[in-house]
Amino acid sequence: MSPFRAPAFVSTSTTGGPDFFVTQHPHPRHQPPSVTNPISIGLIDLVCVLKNVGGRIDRDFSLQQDRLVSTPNTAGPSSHAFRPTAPRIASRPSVPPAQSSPAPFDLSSLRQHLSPPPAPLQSVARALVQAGGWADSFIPAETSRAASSAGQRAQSPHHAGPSPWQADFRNHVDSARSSPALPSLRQASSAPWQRPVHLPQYAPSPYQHYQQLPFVPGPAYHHSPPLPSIYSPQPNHPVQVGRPTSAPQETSTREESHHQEPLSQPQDLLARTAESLVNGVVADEHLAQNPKLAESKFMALMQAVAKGKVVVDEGEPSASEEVGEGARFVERSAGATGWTGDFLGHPSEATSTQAARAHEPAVSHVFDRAGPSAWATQFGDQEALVMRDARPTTQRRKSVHFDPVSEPASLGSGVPANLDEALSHTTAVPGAGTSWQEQGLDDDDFGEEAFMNFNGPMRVVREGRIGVGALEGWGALQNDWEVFSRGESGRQGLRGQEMGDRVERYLFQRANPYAQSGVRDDEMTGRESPTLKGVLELEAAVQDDPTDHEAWYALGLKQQENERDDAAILALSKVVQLAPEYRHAYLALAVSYTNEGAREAANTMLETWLDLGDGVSADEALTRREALSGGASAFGWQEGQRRLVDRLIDVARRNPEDVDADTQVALGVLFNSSEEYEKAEDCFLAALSARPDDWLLYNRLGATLANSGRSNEAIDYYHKALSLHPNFVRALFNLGISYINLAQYPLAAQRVLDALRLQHADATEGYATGKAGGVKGVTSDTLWTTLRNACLHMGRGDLVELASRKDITGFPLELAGVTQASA
Amino acid sequence: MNVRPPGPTLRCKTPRFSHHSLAFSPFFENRLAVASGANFGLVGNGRLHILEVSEGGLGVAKWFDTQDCVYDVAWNEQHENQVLAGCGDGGLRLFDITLEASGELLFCTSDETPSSLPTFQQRRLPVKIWHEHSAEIMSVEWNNLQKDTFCTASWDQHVKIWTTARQTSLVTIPAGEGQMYGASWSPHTPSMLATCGAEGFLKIYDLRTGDPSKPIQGFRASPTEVLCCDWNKYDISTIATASKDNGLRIWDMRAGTAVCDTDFRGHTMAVRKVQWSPHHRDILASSGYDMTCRVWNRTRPAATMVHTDHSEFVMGLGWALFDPGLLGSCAWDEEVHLYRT
Repeated sequence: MSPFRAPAFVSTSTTGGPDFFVTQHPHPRHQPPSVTNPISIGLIDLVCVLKNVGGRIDRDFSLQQDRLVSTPNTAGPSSHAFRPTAPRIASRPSVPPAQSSPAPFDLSSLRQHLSPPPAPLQSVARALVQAGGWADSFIPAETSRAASSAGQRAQSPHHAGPSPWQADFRNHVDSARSSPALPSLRQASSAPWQRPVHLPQYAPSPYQHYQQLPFVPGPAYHHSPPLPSIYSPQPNHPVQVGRPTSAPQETSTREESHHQEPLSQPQDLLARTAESLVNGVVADEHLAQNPKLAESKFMALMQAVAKGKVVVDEGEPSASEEVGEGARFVERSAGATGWTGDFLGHPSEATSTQAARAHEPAVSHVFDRAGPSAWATQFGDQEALVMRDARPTTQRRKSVHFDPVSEPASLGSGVPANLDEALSHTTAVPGAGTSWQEQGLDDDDFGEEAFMNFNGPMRVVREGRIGVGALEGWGALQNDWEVFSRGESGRQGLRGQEMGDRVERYLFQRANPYAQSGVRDDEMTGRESPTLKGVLELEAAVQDDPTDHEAWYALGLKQQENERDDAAILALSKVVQLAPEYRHAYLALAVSYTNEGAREAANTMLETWLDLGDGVSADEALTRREALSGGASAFGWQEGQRRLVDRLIDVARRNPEDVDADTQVALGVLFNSSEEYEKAEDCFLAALSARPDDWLLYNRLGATLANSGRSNEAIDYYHKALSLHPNFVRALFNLGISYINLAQYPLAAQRVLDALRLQHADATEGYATGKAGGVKGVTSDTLWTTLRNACLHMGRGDLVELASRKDITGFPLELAGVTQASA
Repeated sequence: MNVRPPGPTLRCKTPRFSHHSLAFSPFFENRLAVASGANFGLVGNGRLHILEVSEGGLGVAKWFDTQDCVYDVAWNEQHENQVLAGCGDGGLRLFDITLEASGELLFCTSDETPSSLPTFQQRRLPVKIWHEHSAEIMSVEWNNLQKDTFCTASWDQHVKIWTTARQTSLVTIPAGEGQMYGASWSPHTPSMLATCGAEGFLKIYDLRTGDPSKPIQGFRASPTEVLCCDWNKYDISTIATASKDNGLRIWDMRAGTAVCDTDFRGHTMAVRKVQWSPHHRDILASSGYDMTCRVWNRTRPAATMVHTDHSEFVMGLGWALFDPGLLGSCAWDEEVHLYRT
């Protein structure tokens, strides 16, 4: 029926993911806490049952009426239109329902309607047994219990509980017990297991379904009213299936039967469900003492239903073609007079027109057994529309029901006269068009107000959870650390910017052949970008001359590109230490901090970068920031970010014809961290216009698009970046993420694998040890997790295993799935 | 922004009809639709109420009767006058609220109920009907981005995607074992939707994939039934779920795994609805069977506001779209409340 049976559901990547700016942040994993309140679970379960039982009663009765009860009003083909048989297409998603004829009896589809599925209900019932005691009459295992259980139940202790609303009903309980209120149970015991021989003839009836469900107890549920043979003692049972009678006769029998008729099967099921609900509430101390529940009309109704004092009565099909009477709860016994009105009733209201009233006499005639009680007037006007002509099963063209009489010539313009007009009626409200168009702002219109309109208030919550501290697994220290870092000014609280003993140093890789041999590919230095060199080469250069900030900077950029922002931050921090005036390092640092989710740090770096651009010295910038931070800290980093954006826009406006790519990049970074992707996209596009060969920019633009859910567009930019720099690990990885987002798992796995290999190739330790253990920590976990997810989706258990072990050597050079996919 | 409800709670009672869901119009700031049914929706007729806020208070402007209970309601994002009702018989009905002149607006202030509703029979029929689901439709949601489509979740275990232009559904997703309670479009990607249901899983589907009936992500959001889910309107992969174990959880679905970000405790019974604020990244509201409606801030563990005025299960909930902080709720006590948070 459904392909999702497997309980161990595979969680895989969807949106977001470790793209350029939004990187992965290990969260403390919270398992959903276990159930705390079993009774409330039972409660809602039973509400579901109840609803469904009610609905089923609805339907069942209508079916019977359609078929068998030939009242003058419903005779002829028109009766079939009342309560149309729903097309049973549930298990066939692709079949248009319109074509499906009124279904033959289909057990499987019927089962789908039953709520809740048998097993859960049973378990709920069991759970409730432990809490209460009601279920003794409900559990199938105890089907041997006979009809006397009704009396026992009424006397059982939990019914004598102190709950206030129970007291209200105790009288009625007693009266119900003394009167033959539940004769059905007795009858059932006399003829318990007579399987209905005529059942097949009631093909659309779900009764059979009920009987096959485990949670339906034995005897009590087999006294199905539609089976006249069982009910020979009561030939005048109101529901006279198999004995088509004329309507007047039917009415009279109903009248005679009074309240002594047994509960019909669905009624009984409903009553039991209600009872279990009520008892479940009683059994739970917490709920029983809930004053609101005690006063709840719903609970009062359930109480009455459980006692059989109130039953569901199917509404009558009406004389009018489009107006019918809905099902409702009616008072069942003659004993109680006014009290149903107390909880069911509302002040009776003016009733509807004569048309709607046409069937009213018959209705009250049938149901008004105890004299003129209140309900008839209360419910008299519950008319409903029966959309007979619009049933999709009939595939009628005319699905619009403008009555010719009321066809509104009188109504003014703007009112559609038919379906086409109604649907094509263009809206007068601006912005209600079909297409998805953000009402974007002009590029240079970054007013504060527009900002808030566009984005709403900026986010606050994340910073506490995904700070660098969480990465380090500091756990509980995180909060303290954040408080501390906020208290400290400027760079002191930032990772990589620590002073003195707390400095975290860049860890070089051991066994660097470049360092040992002194071999340096001097031709490489001729290339335009330092990042085209390998990590080892750059590290060697740094170790050669640890005071060379340019070397550190190149190393930092390379690590950044290699999806290792940790290392990048440390290297770039070294640059800043060595050469506080080296402006580019601050921008690079800001990017890395953003990738790590450290927004405050990113803002600080950007600000310094700006200050330096203004010709302020680094020391001055620091002091200036410290002076500012006194006021700014009250607003948090959002305030700082806004200020930064303003400054950057200022800078950009100073020379409008000459686009400064760095400024645009900085703005893009900021907009990314505040998740204003459309603005970020504009910034990067502008930067690209100035530096069309910068692969970093292509990657950033792609990441921005992917982060805003446009992975398909992002892929082009990643490819462009890769064509400029084939060993660009980050772009490769981002490309893989985008493929995952587009469900192209083989392609995704291939890209991520390539990225891993490249990263791996830059690390000596993997080669040195040749063991999976040695690789760990060098290549980033993010990549492995992603690769594993992609393999899971491909259904390659072998590869999943490899990915779990982080064994890159085990992977085939080309994943088989890719060739298949491309073929 | 002419009519703004004042500080205290605005109420409106609709006698005999208890409510299941509520939706503010995306076009008119003072208009909302409420899905209702007689007898708590267990049996009987349904009714779709259109409520309006005016100087006189909150009042019923119009209603549409249906054969079976209306469980959920959604406004057409393309048409300011069309509203879609998901009914207990599995049918969908699209009503045009301008079609027929209604009676005069009836207002009820917080203290009194309307003495009577118009007495004349009004024939307000839907402009369109779809009927494919075979069981109660629990959730109807219009797509905010691709504005001609909407989705429904039904107890027949299926989620369907529809468009107004077609008589049959576009896609049918067999979304799980057991009843489906909710289907919600991603506010960021027009082709993605999340579903939740009785089996306790939250599943994400992307219609762009080759097999749209296969979820691209799924995880167990509750040991019991998940009754409602809602995407954060700002964080692209954050979703909140409400479940039967009194749980209200926020999930971070980045990086391919779902991490329970926050687990709010406070509801004492099952939580029926949850909705993120359209105006604030961190604020969400929930309502449930404990007859309360709670407002939460993601940064704080306890509810920032608890609305306890309802006297029956609070089944429906909605943030006003034009008035930040205004929240509406509706319950089985036949009342709709509108209040500030």
